[in-house]
Amino acid sequence: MNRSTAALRQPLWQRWWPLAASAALIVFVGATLQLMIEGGLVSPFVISPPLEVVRSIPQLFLEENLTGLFLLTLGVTFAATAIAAIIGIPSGWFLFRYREFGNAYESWLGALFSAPIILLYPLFLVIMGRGLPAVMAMSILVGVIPIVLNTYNGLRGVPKVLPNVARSFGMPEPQIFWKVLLPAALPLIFTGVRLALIYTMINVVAMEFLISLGGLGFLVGDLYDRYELPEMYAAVLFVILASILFFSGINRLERWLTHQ
Amino acid sequence: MRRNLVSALLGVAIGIGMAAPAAAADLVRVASSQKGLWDQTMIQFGYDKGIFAKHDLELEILWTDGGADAQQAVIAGSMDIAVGTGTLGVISAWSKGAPVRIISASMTGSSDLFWYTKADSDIASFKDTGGKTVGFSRPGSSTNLIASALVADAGTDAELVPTGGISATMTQVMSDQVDVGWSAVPLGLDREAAGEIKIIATGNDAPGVKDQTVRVHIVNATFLEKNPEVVERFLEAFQETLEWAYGTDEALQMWIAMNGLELEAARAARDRGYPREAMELFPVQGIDRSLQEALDNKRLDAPLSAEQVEEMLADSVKFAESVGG
Repeated sequence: MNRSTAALRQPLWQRWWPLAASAALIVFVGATLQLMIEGGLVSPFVISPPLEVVRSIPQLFLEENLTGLFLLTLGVTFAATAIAAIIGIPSGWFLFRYREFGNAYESWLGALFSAPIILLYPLFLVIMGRGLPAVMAMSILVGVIPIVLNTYNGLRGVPKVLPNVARSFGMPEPQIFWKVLLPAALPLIFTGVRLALIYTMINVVAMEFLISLGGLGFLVGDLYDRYELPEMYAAVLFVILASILFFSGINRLERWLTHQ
Repeated sequence: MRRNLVSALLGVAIGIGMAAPAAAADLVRVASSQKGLWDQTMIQFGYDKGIFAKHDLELEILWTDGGADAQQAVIAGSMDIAVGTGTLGVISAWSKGAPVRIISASMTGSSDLFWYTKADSDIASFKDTGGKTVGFSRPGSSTNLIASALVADAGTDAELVPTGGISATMTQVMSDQVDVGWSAVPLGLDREAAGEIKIIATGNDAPGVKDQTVRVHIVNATFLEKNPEVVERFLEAFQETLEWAYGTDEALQMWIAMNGLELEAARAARDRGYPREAMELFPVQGIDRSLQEALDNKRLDAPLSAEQVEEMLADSVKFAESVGG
């Protein structure tokens, strides 16, 4: 019985409960804010009334090219995370395979992971120019670190008995990696990819905001400067939406790969 | 006996009277940005000199990242007054009903801004910028509007490029990523003196900019409603600060301590970038041009009527009469 069949056998309310609970929370928070603003507890010039934010969304599509900017942020984030994964997973394997390097660099990577790399953005602008390459390079750098660390730790955490059994059956080393080690380490590798996605997305939006270039981050900054507060909050909602889309996509990819 | 008792009570009363603290000065929370630039730091100079205290005002100064943040702090009510915020931003916020009022001009003209190239560049003026790149800070900013006007006036096809802040722009110019960069006095003047860069235009070279108030002082509407007399005293103190800052070298000495300039270089930078007439508090000038720019840059949804403009500037007109200058 596969997972989708099992899901179909769940009662209807159980299948829809998470979605309904999420929608109810959003409505509750929105309604509470609306009431607080209408009651004068919160200034509408600081936080826009949720209803106004929702009403401003069509204007963003019609006048601010929201579709293009949304796709740009989505595309840059996806590309940076994908490149980070392409670099990070083999690098993590390298540190696992050659333990001397793993022992030497793990603490360095850990320190770099917690460093506010975004503060280096002027340096990247100088080296790469004020454009997409600088945004991509910084985003790849912040994304690659959690993937390397989690791949390394995921592979290290695979019980030794698993590859040993495979070897006892005469399985060649490349197959042991693809058929045993990698699948066993996959959950932790995906945790790394999820973290990379978070950091990459934050970095992309922050860079767009700081250098007034590109997608949703640029739009949020521009709307703030123009004092279009409802539209600005609506644009922030689309940043959150982009994040939700990515998470949903990664969860599906992880489920698919696990089944393979 | 009775006389002694009365004398004792009188003595106690006088003692209490003398021990009671003097009436506290009125606290005004002021937001400013770009600490180190002459006009934006004027509030600190006046405060340090004790001019505001003389007017019975105690200041709490907050330094923000930019004029938009200072304006937002005033709108939110966390600060009472913001000095030197962009006129277009204020027009935008006011037109949308934000509780903010213009109380005076802060800077008229843009003599503080300048555009430069590397010293060995073949660009001598904006007329030579055909096919070149010209920097500005960020889209919609005053540097963007002025750079556009300078290029349009020169009639070239120069490409306008957002280069960010002053330091980042300087690096891009010196590393040949951008042909023409922007800066604000006094930043970069040391490089000009050292022969590393040459200035090809100032903000005032753009048509119409010289007589346009580009930055204003603003106040939270509720604060103004409750404390009109405090705001008036604030402007009187600011006016006195300006007189002192241009009448003596004391403020220049304070500025030197911040920027590490020599006295004569500092004086030249001040007179070049911030001439006294550019910092007159009254009147707010060139409002038609500002309104048009606000419309062109989507900061206004629709043109303001004459009545609305009059209402928007009413407080500054009122203070011009009471404070003068």
